[in-house]
Amino acid sequence: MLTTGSKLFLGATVLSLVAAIVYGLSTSGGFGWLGVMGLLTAAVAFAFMFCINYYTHDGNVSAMSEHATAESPAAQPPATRSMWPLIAAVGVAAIALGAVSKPIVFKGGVIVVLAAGLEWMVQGWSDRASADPEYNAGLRKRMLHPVEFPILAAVGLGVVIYSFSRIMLWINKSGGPVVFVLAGGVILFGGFLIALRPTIRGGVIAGVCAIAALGLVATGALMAIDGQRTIAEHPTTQTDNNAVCALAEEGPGEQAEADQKGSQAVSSKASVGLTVTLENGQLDAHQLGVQGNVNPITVSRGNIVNLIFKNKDSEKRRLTVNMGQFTIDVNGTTVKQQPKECTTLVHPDGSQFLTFTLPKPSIASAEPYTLTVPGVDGLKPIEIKVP
Amino acid sequence: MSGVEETVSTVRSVKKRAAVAVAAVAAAVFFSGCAQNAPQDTFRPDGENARKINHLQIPVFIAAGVVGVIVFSVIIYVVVKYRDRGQEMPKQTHGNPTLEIGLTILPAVILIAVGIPTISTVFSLAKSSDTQCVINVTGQQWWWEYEYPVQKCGGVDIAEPIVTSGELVMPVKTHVMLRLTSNDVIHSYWIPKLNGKRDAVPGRIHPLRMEADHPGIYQGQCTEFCGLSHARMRMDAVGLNSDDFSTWVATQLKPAEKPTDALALQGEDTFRAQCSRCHQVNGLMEENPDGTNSDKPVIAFPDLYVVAGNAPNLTKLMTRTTFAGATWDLLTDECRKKLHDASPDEFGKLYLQGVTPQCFNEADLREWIRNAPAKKPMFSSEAQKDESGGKYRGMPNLNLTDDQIDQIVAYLLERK
Repeated sequence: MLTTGSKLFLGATVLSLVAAIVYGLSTSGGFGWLGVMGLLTAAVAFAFMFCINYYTHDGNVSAMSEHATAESPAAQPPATRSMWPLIAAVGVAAIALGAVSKPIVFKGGVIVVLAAGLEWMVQGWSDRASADPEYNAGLRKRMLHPVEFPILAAVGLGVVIYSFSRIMLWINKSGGPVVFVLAGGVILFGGFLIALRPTIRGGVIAGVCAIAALGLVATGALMAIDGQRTIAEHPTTQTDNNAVCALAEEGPGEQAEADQKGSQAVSSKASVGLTVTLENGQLDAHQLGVQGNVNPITVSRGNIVNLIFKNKDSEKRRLTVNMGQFTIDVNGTTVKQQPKECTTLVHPDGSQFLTFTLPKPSIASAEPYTLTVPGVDGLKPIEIKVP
Repeated sequence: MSGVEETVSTVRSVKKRAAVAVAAVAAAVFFSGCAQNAPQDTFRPDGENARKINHLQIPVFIAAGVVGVIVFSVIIYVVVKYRDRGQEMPKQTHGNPTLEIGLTILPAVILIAVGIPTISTVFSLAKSSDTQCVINVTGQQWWWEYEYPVQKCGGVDIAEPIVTSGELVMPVKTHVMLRLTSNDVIHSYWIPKLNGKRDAVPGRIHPLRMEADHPGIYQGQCTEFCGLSHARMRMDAVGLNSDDFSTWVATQLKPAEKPTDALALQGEDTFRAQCSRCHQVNGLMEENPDGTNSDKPVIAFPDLYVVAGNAPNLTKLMTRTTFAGATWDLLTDECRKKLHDASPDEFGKLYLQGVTPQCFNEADLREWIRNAPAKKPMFSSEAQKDESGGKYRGMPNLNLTDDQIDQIVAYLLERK
């Protein structure tokens, strides 16, 4: 005779098989076979679980006893009311709403349904664990508190931090430090007061903290709705402006600012595959894993090249990548293209990161790909070969 | 039989069956270690670097095994001897300085004993000052590309860069430095008989030393899950002696020649129209309106079609023995076996013959050209292209006719 657990898994097996057949027939090509494979895998797993449950009688030798079934705590009605069906229903509503509105609502609904399902399941199990409601409640706490408390703490902290960040992004640049100092001062003063008066009731402290948190979240929400202040962007790194890349001095317009602030650029050192140094009027290239100077260097077609340019010259210099010469047809007219990319002007003893990709082999270009520094007399460029 | 007796009997029966099942699985795992035909066996190194790893792993395995056996034996002894039989709680003791100091010092000594050779091996495997040849290796879904920069590689001059795929050809008894990277997702390069594994990460260069003792083929595979055909992203390292490697370099540097066979000539046109959008063949020229070749090379533009921005260069396809990520053989089973079983002295000559018409495994190549995604799962249908930034992952089905396939196969057979 089939046990309760084995019936569940047998049903799941049949359902998965039917679903695999329906899915396989209703999808043609594309990823249909992947879905079928997934459902068949689930069917095999459920069938395995069915066999184990059937074989072990659900791990309970008395499971087949009608008497034991009727008398067992599991057969008794639940001792407490559960709020989880209601919360699960809210989650289902959010899923339905999210399906026709925003994905974030849908995802939130799924999380709520999963969380409510878990809580509901554990509560249902713990309510029937024994005939003692107090013991059952303790059992539920032991199961779920290690999960609930860290998650709730993380969510609470996340909300507070997010709200505070919205406030800091809303107020103007000079007001930010003032608010930050004030907030820190209030917390410090509050802590000082509590330390002075250790007899203050915990409820009072909790109330004050709750009101402060509510105020913070409400203010953060308002400022998030209003939007953050305008943050001006200043170009400080590389450019693909051909005219500027050929210049030894500051570029015009916005590029001038980028050249002036080039020393503020942050250089990545973690992913550098090539180091190019300008020293004594000549360029040296060192490739990771290769001893000595390399010229020409060989790079893979379509591969990202990350290099760092070190300027050991006494003048500000920029490194330019001459990315070949191509002719293209634009409405019947042949147009010559000479793409370039370059760093901004790098201060003496400074360095800057440059990243580029060469999508075509060297034979596609009428001129070789090179690395060079404009304005340095007699400099021998480093050739880049793309096979 | 009472309920309790029945339960005890059931539990004993389950325990017995479980023990038999565990013993069967353990025996299967144990005896699989005795397999002779195991080209990716880490315990049979064929190069200096893999040998260093093996010299480290064997004593560490022994030490770990001895510690494991002692720990498990003590646990089993304690569990069995002191199991709950209704006896009174034994006397509890707290604090035994001798035992505690001993149990702190002993593991520390073992760790130091293991740590010193481990660190020494790690530094030795990271050494680059003795490099005699550099090869750039780029992983892409789902094949490996190898580029040989301009250099003197193991004493052999490489005057122009060489590009190939699927097979890493290198001179034997030479300190080769691979510079690993990737064009799309993270892959991992592993040829167990020659060295340990190393990840190939987009935007980063990871060096990996490689050295083979003698001529032959050393097999490996990608060991970082990289998408649908991860299991079919294989690689072969081919060791050649210096003279043979020099011949191989000279062959690779020759541009493609105009086909001689009539069908292959038609194949060149078909290749130009269908395949050269992604696959480069060095020496293939654009066609003039009068049907003659112009002096302008055909440049593939895989960057417009493939996520990796690259596709295998087919200029010398028939100098290799595999295709499609070293997954299928270009050689028939008989010729493949002959090549793999060749003695080190004969290997180079056989390998340099490439794919001859007599040894050509045409069936697999035809199937691949007819419908590549049906042979190797990829993300390369029109619908999937939309989900992948408008580009394919792998080779799409080009819906070629039988005649076109005949022509392309004939053309490719002359690419050597």
